Parts: sequence; structure tokens; C-alpha cells
Amino acid sequence: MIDVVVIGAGINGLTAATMLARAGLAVEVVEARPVLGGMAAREPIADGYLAPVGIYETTGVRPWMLNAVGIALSPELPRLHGSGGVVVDLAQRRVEGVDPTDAAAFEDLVELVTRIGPLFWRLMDHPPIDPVASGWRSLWAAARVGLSARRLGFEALRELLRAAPMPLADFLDERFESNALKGLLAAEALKYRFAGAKSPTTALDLLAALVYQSAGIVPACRLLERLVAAAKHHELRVRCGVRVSSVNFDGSRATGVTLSDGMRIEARSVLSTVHPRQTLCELISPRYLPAALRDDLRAWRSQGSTARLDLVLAQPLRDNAGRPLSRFALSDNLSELERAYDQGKHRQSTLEQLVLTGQQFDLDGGFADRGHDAHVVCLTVQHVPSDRVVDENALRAAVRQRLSAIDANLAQHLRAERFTSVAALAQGFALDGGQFEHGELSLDQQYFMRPQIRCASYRAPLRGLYLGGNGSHPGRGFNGAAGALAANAMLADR
Amino acid sequence: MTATTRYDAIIVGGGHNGLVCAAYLAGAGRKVLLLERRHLLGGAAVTEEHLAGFKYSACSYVVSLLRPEIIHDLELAKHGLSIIPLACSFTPDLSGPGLVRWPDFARTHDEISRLSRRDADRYPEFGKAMGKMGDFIRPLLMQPAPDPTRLPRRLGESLSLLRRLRKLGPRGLAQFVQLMTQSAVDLLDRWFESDRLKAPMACSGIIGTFLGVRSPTTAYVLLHHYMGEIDGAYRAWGFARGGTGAISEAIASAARARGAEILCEAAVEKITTRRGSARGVVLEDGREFEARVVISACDPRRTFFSFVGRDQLDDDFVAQITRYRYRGSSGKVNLALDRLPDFSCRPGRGLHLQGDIAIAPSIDYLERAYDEAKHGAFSRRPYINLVIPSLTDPTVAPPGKHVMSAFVQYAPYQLAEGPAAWDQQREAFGDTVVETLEEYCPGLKDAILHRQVLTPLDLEREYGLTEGNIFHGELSLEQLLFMRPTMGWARYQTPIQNLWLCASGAHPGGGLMGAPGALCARRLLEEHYL
Amino acid sequence: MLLPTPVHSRTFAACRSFRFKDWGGYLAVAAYDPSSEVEYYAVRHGCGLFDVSPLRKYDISGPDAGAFLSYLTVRDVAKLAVGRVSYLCWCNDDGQLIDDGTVTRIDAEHYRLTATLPGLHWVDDRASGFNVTVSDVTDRLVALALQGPQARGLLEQLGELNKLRFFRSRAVRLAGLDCYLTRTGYTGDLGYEIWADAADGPALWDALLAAGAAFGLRPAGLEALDICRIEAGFVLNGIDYRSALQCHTAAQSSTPYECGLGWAVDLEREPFVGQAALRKRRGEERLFGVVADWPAIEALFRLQGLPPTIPSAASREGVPLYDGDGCQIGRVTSRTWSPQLKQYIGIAAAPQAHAVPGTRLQMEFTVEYQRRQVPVTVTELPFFDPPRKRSR
Repeated sequence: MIDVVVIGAGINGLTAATMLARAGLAVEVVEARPVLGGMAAREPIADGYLAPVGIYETTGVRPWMLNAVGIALSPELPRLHGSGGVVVDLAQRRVEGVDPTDAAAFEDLVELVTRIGPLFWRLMDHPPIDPVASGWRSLWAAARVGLSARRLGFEALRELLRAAPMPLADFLDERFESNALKGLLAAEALKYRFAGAKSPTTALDLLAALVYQSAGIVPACRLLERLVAAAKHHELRVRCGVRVSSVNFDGSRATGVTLSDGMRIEARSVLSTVHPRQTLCELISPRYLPAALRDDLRAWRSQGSTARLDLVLAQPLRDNAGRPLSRFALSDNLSELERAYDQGKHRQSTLEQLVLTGQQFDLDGGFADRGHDAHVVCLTVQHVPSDRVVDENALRAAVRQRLSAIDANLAQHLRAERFTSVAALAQGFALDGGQFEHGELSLDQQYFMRPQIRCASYRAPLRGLYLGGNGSHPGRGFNGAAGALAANAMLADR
Repeated sequence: MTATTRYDAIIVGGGHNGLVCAAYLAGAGRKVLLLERRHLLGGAAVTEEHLAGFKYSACSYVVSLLRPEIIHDLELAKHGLSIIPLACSFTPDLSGPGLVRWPDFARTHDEISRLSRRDADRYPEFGKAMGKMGDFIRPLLMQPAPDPTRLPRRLGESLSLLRRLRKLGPRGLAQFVQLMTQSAVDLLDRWFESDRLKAPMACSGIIGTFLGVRSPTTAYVLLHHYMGEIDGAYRAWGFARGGTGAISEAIASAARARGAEILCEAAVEKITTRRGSARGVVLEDGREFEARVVISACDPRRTFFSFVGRDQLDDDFVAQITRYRYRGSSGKVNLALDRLPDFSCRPGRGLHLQGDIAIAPSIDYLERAYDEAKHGAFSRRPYINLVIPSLTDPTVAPPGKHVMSAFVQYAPYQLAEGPAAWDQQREAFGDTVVETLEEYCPGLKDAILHRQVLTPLDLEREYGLTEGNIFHGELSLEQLLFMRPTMGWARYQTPIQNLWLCASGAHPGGGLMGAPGALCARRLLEEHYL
Repeated sequence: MLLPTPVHSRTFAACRSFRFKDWGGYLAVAAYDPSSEVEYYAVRHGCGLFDVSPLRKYDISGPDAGAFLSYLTVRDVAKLAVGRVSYLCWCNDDGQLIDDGTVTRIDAEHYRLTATLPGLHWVDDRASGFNVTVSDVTDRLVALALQGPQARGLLEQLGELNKLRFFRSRAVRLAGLDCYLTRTGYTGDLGYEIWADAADGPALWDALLAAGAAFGLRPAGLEALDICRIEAGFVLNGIDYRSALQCHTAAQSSTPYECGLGWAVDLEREPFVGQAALRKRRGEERLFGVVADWPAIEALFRLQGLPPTIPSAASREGVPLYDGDGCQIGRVTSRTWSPQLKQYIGIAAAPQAHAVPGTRLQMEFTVEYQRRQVPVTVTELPFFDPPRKRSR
């Protein structure tokens, strides 16, 4: 009998498991894939080259999370390249390649992001407040959120309240002239989301993305490496390559899990970091959950439209000044981005518009084993319908075509390529629809609604079962926050 | 006339809200003058005759949201108001018999059963759930918007809202959040499986907005329209006898009976101010009037930028009103018909023609209509909401003839070529509508005696609806409640002292509701501003 | 628009009173003759034939069918042997009643569930996660209830019954038609329900009526059924309780305990929908019978100078129930004059303290627009339970 079984050894699972182990609990992690890391795990692209199949960057990695698992990392503030020579530099808090009015407007935006930062972190670093709970503890939590909101001042609060339900396109049109800048910001904000810039409530995504990126970016592989090292240090027991087939109950609480090979692991608690619908509807017999909760979970939206492409290049992609690019987003304007969304929405199999965001990694990023000298570029491709057969070759060609705007000779440098479709992502990582974050981060699926109003506190409505995947709050940034907060919830219950 | 007459209140604009406000103020014994630019009262709630004997409800064509307390307070029935309920809601189809939703359960159940038995069984529950949410929202429509940002001054209002929210319980609260933020399709997907049922239901979520049925936040608009219904039946949607203008006439008559003075063809040019305080108006013909308060029944942009002037306002407020979004998305086509249209999916003159008829064959159809508009063109296959009021109210057409009113979406004010291009595209737009209808009722084209096409540009020019928005500004979440028209000025007052807003650009927003007019008057009177 | 049942051509032709009712969206005869009394007596003395086709019928099949029904309903249906029928009800998470009906195990992996009101979506939604298919077979089947002491004799003439026992079922051939027979009913009398292909409905109806002449058979409508079911103490969804799917508030709903269906709830087993809530609410028995003091009713009429009149049909309008101090403590949801018992009886609900047999309470009774109260005595349900109902 151990203390906790953690389902899933992704960033959330490893974070939670390490925290629990550090608290002195006997923890075992079960991972269905043969390697640790979940979506952040690197897999070979071509001989000698590795890159993550799923996520390649994490944002919003907060000091308290690093402390909780006992690792040290310094997130970097990104420089983000767009089309037409536009560069957003968050370290310098400015934008290059636009006219002075836009540059000033961008500074105002950064200022707004700085103002609202504390409120965001108050919301993101803590479990969601329970709007129907009573008792001083939840009232206190709500009051602290209220105080953070008050501290914004009238204008910032007005901007935030107004922005939250707004379409991103309107938010950007009010501020900027440059199409390239708008396209760049929108592509960055809506990465992984199945929404267009004209969809209401997307302005909030930009604010959230900027707040998260202002906290710095850490390559997913690096965070994973440190987490694995920390896990090893705490002698965490990990079982890879075997699925959990059910979570067991004795009528009153969770008693462990049964694995697909028939083995049972007895444990006092179970912490699941997989998709909430998988945890609650597939690993558990319907008998143990309220019928209404199952109905609500069925309506959980996690339809993905983001595919991944990884390239191995002999020569790095360079910007106009000849410096190697790091992060970039290719979307010339909002209307192009919107058309890309339309084709995903109507599930077209021929794709005319693509929104690309990506990051180029240099060699010390750990993407190549022996003395290889190439560069790896990880890309997200939007919006690719998940349930349609899309001609992969045509899609690759279209991406290459799009990238040739940066490097006309891309084809000559290209050594290897790996495309991962939405369906492949969905299947490989049990994403149930293909959404990277285990559920669309729309307003109705966030905060105390994530994944459902009755289990947003990381506690499933069954004693001893905890939900610590991205389907739980905050679910953004792939930084392990959900796992960490779930581990805290479990520790608080002991 | 000289400037010597001094009124208690001058109301600029004789739309239904202006009239309601005038009637309430006059009823409280105040000396009220209402000024209307056009020759007839009603604003967008008018009846017009373009071909002898055919009366169009030119813009607004059905009524559901008109607050019962207003009907009662102003004794509108005594002043000639008579609302005839719609018989049903009919969605024709190109293949199959279409769908008719009736007020009575068994009949609707039978209709929906043909699409899906499950959906049929669940349908009444949906009505019940929406009714429950409506009960929660409805009180908000008849009180000034609680403003949580004004704590602790408005603590009481916010706390009572919070208490009511908590009383919904976890599931009710989740439903409330979903209603406020989800798309109409997301909401309906939870309930129903049949596309042909969901499509006409989703339409309520896009009426008057520049959003698609899959755009988040349209679920709220759906509820907003659902509130006109009782338990999911269409009993409360109806035609005003004599066309929508009859409502305005009834309110005007009530206002006059209470002593309000009403001037038509009196176009206001300027609202005059002295030391940041409104003191009266100047008309285009030079006449001047003074009053203790000036109340604008026009939309915020027209009020502040055309009548008051940017120079009278501080920069921040100008910026807020500039950002206030209109973006009209709908047009109107009114037809005078030689004979009754015959729908091929349900031929003959049945009761189904006496309801509202929605051309909304599928969710994708509606979404594609939006996609075209989003990129700057009117929908080639639009969503159309039709009514044939002459079947229910024979006074609006000569015997044997009919009028048909078609509300069409999307017709974006902002065409790719700019709004002025509407003058060239007006007839093409009208043709598109007629051709779309012709697919469903062959022979309609030949029966048309007269056609009135109102593009968003026409709505702006003729009816003073800025950018052709029928609600005086989008009913989007960031422009609702305490943020309508802008945060800090959502309680009918404005930064100009003694200048008030009483129309759809103020809480609770658009629709033939009358609530902003009544609420504005109530605040003026109860808080002794007047 | 009300839908016709499979035997509409026959029931419509036989209905001389032109009194119909809406039963779940179907056109159902209230009474064939202007007075339903003959129909009632046919059921109690000869036999009555009811068209119960509007009952919702769901076929549930698949390897998990038994497990699913045990999860959906309050009974452990998986334990039911093939050929057996069970009466049960189902609730939501909060233990609030949704509907009641019978379930028949037709085959090892094939059950048939009947329900009073439309609610396919509820049953179907619950099925996710179980290896079953739920299909609504309401329109594919005709359902005829043959009820009354002579029912057995009549059926034996048409086919081989093999002594079908109470709450058992079997496939039979009746008058050359393939039928499925259950020994169940809603009258509290000896009776059978016959389920057959909708297309065979009219032929079956004709065959039963032709053979029935010798057994005192009459077609009977809902009014007669209502009197019978009140005598038998059966609750009716929509009258004696309200389905949770139709309630606006929790106060409008009832638990099975409150509806006298507590006996059907099997709590100590694998979790099922509403189990946790029902555990907490066990013991809230509220349903009982009341018998009105007839002389007191007569006195009320006499007060107005009127002769006492007996209403011919049951009343479905609830009336308040008061204790001796005149405080309202409950309600009488269904009441009728029982022609068999010669008593005015009702199905009532009130807190348990008042539900003790023999307790004297007051029921509201209106004569000539004057609201009065008459004394009633609490009794156990059913009012009428003849041994022939269960006899072998």
C-alpha cells in the first residue's frame, strides 16, 4: 500500500509527484508512453535529432513552482518575430519595425499587462475560488481576489472588464495600425486555441499570453530535464509503458488503480493528470459519479485544430539583420488568421491559409545527440481539422512555402521533417479531440468551471481522487501549475 | 416661437424609448417637450405606407420584450395597443417537411420527434431551464445595472446580485456562466442532437449582433430573446395591430394624454451647454428650447458627437464613446404581395404561415452567412426571419393581398468597399433575399408588387440608427449592464450635467422593450433630479 | 396535435362520448360512454380492455443491459430472472423521482422498460459508459391491458397461457398473432398486458372483443382506469408526484419514499443514480390512503339544501389536508368515489407523524363554491386488493 498513484508522467504529473515525494509520501507514477515527459518528451525526428512531439515551450513558470519541486531555472523574456520585420521584444518592453504610434500603443499595452499582472497571478497561482462555498476560508480567498482587482485602479479594471469578453480583433484594431503586428500578436495569443481573432472572449487570451510570457519562457525540454532530475533525486518510482485501465474504489474512496496488464496498485489516493473526461468517464465506472456531472463532462469541449511540424535545418533561420531567429509567428494580418480559423471550423480538407508559430532551438537545447550541427525548428500549424484527412504532403509544402518568406533557400537546408497531425496528437497523448490543454481555454471552461464547477478544486467528487492535469485550473502555459496546485490540495486534505 | 418657454425636460428623439420616458415624466406632472426629426413618431418602431394600402412595419416588426409594467403603467391598451401573438415558429426546408414549433407541447413534440425522439422529449426541459435563467436575468432588466466596480457605494446592489447568483446552486451557476460566455451552438449542443432543430433555435442568438451562431457569448443573446417567451412557447411574441408603428402611436397618445408636448419635423442640431451643464437644444431650423434636463433618446455616438460636441467632453470619455461599437449587421426587406406565398415544403395556407418563419436550414448555413459578412460582404445565402402580418392583422394590406417583412442577416454596415458601397449594392442585396426566398416558396418573385430594401446605410440615414445597428450599439458582453455605454456612465447620467440618456444605448439595451426610457424617467424622478 | 395509437381506428369508432384526453402526446379515450361507470364495473366483474399504447416503451439490450438498468433504476434488475417483470422507479442524483414503470426481462440481454411520460433522453444519456443500446419502441408496439376477473378465461380461449403467474411474462400466440404477455396491470385486479407489433393492433383488438362477449368484456377508458388505480393505491406520474424533469423547484419533487415507492428501493448494492441522496432520505414515508367520512359530506350538501351527488370520475386536482388544529399538513393528490367500496377515498401525502393508520385529519371539500372541510381517516394502501390479482 503506497500513498499516491499519479497517472501520467508529463510536466504536471512529475511536478505533482515530486512535490508529494518531497512531502514524504510514497508515490508511484504510471505513464502509458514508454518515455517520461508526456507531450514534452523528445522523440527522434531523424537519425540523431530529437524534438518534442507535442509542446516545446512553457510559459508562466513561476518561482513558487520551481521551489516546490526544488529546481532552479531562469526563464527568458522572449523576442518574437513576425512578418514584415516586426519584432516584439518583451525584455525591452517594446516593438520594432512599426511606426511610432503603434510603438507607443504597444508600450501602453505592456503597461496594461504589467498593471493587471498581479491580479492574473492572484488568480493563476491559487486554486479557483468556489463561488457557492461558504465559510471564512473561501470568503477570504474571494476577498483577496476582489482586493487585487481593486488595486488595479479604475482604468485598468475598465480595460480588463471590457477586454475579457471582447474579440481579439476589435481589441487590436482599437490600438494598432500595423497589420503585421496585429497578426503576430493574434497568432501568439491564439496558439493552441480553436478560435479566430473575431471570436468574442479572445482578447483575454492575448492579455493572458502576454502576462505569461512576461514571466519568461522556458523550453519544455529544459523544464522536463530538471523535473526528471528532481524526480530521480527523490527516488520516485515510475512505471512507463503501461496504461491505467481503471481507478478503483471501495465504495467510499479511491483505493488505487488497475493497470492494463491486470496489475493492481493499492494506494490511499490517486492523482490523475490525464484529460478530465478520460479520468472521470473512462477510468471510473459510471456508477461512482453523479449522473449530472457525466452529462456536463460530455459537453466539455476539447476539439483541437493545432498540428505540429518539426524541421531539421542545416542552416538556421535568420531575421533581416542576419541573427538567428528564436521565436516567430507568421500571420500577415487578422483576416488571414480568421480565414485559417474558418477552414478549421468548416472542417475543410484543403487548407489555403495557415497560421504558423514556432521556435528555433540552437544546438545546446538538447535536440541532437552526437556532434550534430543542425538546427531544429518546432512549429505549430493552425487550423487543421482533426476529423478530416488532410493531405499531409500538401500541408508540408504549404508550410515550407510560408517559411520561405523568412528563408528563401529553406528547401536546400532542410534535412528532415516530422509532421504530427491533430489526430495523431489526440491519439498519442489521449487528448480526446486533440486540444493541447485538455480543453478549450474559453471563458466557460476556465477558473471555477475547469473542468467542472464541482471539481475545480482539484478534488473529484470521489474521495481520494484528484485532478491535476491541464484540464484543471489554470491549464495554461504547460508549466505544471495544475499539477502543483493539485498536489497542494491533496497535501492540505491529509 | 421664442426661447421663453422653459420645460422641465426636453427629449431628443421620438423613438419608443423617448416616448416612454416622456410619458412617465409627463405623468409625474413634469412639463415635457419631445422633439422628433422625422414626420412620424416611433423611430425604428414605425408603420409606413409605400404602396397604397400596404402597411410595412418598416424596421422593427415583432414585439415580445415590451415590458408589461410599461403597458400597464401607461395604460397602453386604452390608447389602442393590441398585440396579437404569433401562432408558431416555422422553419422551412428544401428537403423534407420543415419544422414547426407550436405553443402546445404535444404538437411540437410530434414535429420534433420526426427529427429526433430524444430531442422531442428533452425540448420542454430546455424551455424550463431557459425560463429559470430568464427569471434570474429579468429583474436586471427593470432596474439600473448593478455596478460592482463602484464598491462600496453600490455594495448593496452587488451583494444582492451575488446572493441571487449563489442561490442558483453550483449547477445553476455553471449554467449562468455558460449562458453568458458560450456560443448559441455550444449551448444547444448540450441539449439537442438534431441540426435542423438547433439551427432555428440558434438564430435567436445572432439577431441584431455581428456574431455567428458559433461565436462565444451568443448564448446570452439567445436568452435575451427567449425572455419574450413563456416556458419555451411563443405566446408572447406578437404583432401589434396596425403594424409596429401602432405601439409608438399608443405610447405617444399616452404621453400626450399626460400632457407631454410632442413636435415632429423638429430636427435637433445641437444640445446647448453652459459650464458643462446642458441647458437646452437648438433645432436645425433655428428654433431654441430650454429645459432643466435634456434627455437623449438617440444613440450615444450621435448624442455626444453630433449634438454635444467632442470639445465639450474630456478625452477619456470621447475615447470610450469612440470605442463603443455599433457595426450594424442586418437589413430589412419589406414586400407587398399580390398573393400569399406558398412554401413547397408545406404547401397551402396553414396556420404555420402565421408564425415567424426562419430561413435557417442548418448551423453551417448560418455560420457561412456570418463568415461572408465577417470578411466584408453581405451573405449570399442569408439568414432570414420572415413574418406575414397581414394574415393575422388584415388591416395592414388590401383584401386578398399581403405584406411580408423579412429581417435579413448578415448585411454588414462595413462592406469591404466601405459603407457607401451599399448604395450600389442595395438592389443586389434585395435580389439575394428574394432569390433565397424563391427557393423555399417558388412563385414568390412573381407575386411581388412592391419592394422596400433597407440596408444598414439606409437604417442609419433614414432612422438615425448609427452604423445601422438596430440596438444602438452591439449587445455584446462588454457593452452590457454596467458597461453600457461605458463603465461609470451606465446609469443614464452623462458627464454633461443635466444630460441624460434614455434609449437602447443605455442599460438594459435594445429591442422593443421600453425599459431604458422607463428606467431613466424613474431615476430622474426618484432621485429628485427633476 | 395528438397522435393516434395503433388501435386508433377501433378506439375512435367505439368512443361514443367523444371524450378524449392527451396522454403523453397521444389521443386516449377518457370514457367510451358518457358515463364511465359501466367500464369500471366491467373491470371489477367481467373484464375491461384498455389501450395503453401511449406508455413509453424502451428496449434495452446488450451485455450490460442488466447492469445498466440496475444503475438507472432503484432496483437490482440484474437479479431479475428471464421472464420476470418488476415494478420500479428511477430518480436523478438528488433522489428525486423521474418516472415509474415496469421492466420485463425478455431475454438474457434484452429488457423492456415502460415509462409514463416522455423521457428517452434521460434513459439514453445514462447509458453512456455501458455496453447497451436503448431504443424507443413506443411506436412499434401496441399495448393492450386486459384487466378483470374474467381476463384469464378470455385469454385462455385465444391462446395457451400455461398458467402465467403474477409479474411473469411470456411470448404467446393469441388468435394467431405473435404477442408478448405480461401479467401486470394498473387496476389492482387480475389482469394482463399484451404487447404486440403495432400493425397487428387492430386485429388483436378485434379478436379480443369478439371473444370477449362471453366474458363481459368492454373497452374501457382512462376515467375507469383512474378509479381502479386509486382503489389499488397506485401513484400516477404528473398527478401524485411530479417528475424531477418537470419540476421548477426542489420542493415540487418527491423521493420514492415520499411516494410510497420506498419498498421498491434496493439501497444496499452497487451505486445507482440517486443512491447517496436516497440513503439520507430513507424513512420519509409520506404516502397513505384517506377515507372520507361520508355522512359529513352529505351534511355539507344538506347545508346548501342539496342532495349529495357522487362525482362519476376521479378528481386529479389536489386539495389541502389539515390536522385537527386546522393547520395544513399535507395534500390529497387523487381522490374518487369508490363504487366497489362505497366510500370516498383518496391518495394523500403528509409528514410521517400524521400517516399513522387511524389518524383523523381534515380534507378540503368544496360544495357550491364553498370551501369546507370533511373528516378523513388515515388508512393503509391499497384500498382494494383482491386475492385473484396474485392467484395462480
